[in-house]
Amino acid sequence: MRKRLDEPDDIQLVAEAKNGNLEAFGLLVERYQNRLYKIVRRFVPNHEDADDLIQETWMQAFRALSSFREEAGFYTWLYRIALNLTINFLRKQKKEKQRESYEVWEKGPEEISGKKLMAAEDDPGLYELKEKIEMAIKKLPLPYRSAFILVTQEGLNYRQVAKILGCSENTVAWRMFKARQKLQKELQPYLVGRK
Amino acid sequence: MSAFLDGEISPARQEQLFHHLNSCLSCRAYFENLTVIQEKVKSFEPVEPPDNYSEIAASRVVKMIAESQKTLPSWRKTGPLWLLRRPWLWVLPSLLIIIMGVLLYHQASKKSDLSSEAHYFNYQDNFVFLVDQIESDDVVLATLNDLIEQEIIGPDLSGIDYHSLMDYFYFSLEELSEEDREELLKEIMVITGENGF
Repeated sequence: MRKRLDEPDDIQLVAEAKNGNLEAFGLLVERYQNRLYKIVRRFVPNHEDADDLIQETWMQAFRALSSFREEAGFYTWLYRIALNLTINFLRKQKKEKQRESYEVWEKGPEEISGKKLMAAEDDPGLYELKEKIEMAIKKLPLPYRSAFILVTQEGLNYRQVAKILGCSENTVAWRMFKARQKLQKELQPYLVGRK
Repeated sequence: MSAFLDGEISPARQEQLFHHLNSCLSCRAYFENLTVIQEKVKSFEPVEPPDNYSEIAASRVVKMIAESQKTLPSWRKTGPLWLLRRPWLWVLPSLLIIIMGVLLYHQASKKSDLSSEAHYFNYQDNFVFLVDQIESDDVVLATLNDLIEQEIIGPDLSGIDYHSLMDYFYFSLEELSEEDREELLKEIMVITGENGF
């Protein structure tokens, strides 16, 4: 008889799931579904796409369970699958030129209508700085954006991000530097005099 | 500055940074801008999932996996356990592979004078792989070819910290701006320079 699954840790659940115990895998899904949702939603604009991507993440994770190594940390491993799927999804959207809704979401409505971003002095009340920052982040190239979101919004350190993105810590540092440089350049008109 | 904001800087470097900021107005202005962005970004709340989302998702995922397994052959369902229960399927082939491996090793060790050549071909393979990764980007490829023509790097890429170089190609170069690609190439130049070219 299988042992009861009272608050078992990830490694125990993964071991059970590897032996075909779907109840154990279901507990892993319950444990991490919301966290995955929050991170994926930082990249994609709607619930449906995020939901599909996370579902695919779990299916891939289950198929690849035998390749999971304990030292990696289950959530880091899962994060990596989710991020790769999300990045591929965004690239595909871009390539297929079916990005109308994404363009609206990523660039903001005023750019889609052919107008340039208004300077703060033109209409300082129209957009909050926070919204401008959000738009600027969405315009960052994916390598920079993913590192920036993981470090600043998910609170991960360079080592963790390097593991998730499959690169070195130096590369993460370089991407963070470039992301900030771009954001600063883009947002400079709105940052003057703000502290 | 960037590493400081992420808490990834040593106390000594932090002291150096503060010392510099005290005397450099333009860097201080830049740093203050970065700090404003950082504070705002940290205040961004994530989008919350709907109620009972994790429970609903768990039952849906489990159901999907169970359904997909119904159509799988038994060896796919139980994975390694299926093989363990049938040792005749793997014991004999494993022994054969080990014997062949030992024989090949002895043969290879006799040809130790060819080992440097094998090393060279390994780098050639890496180069082909690298080109495969970047062939979509004419600028980078052309520059790499230039580097080879000018003998700044060898055609076999020997001496390059290959893994560090590949790190930069994790993402598609198409997504980088021309300016960033140029910077990337400078990084490549630095890597090749550091390795004695």
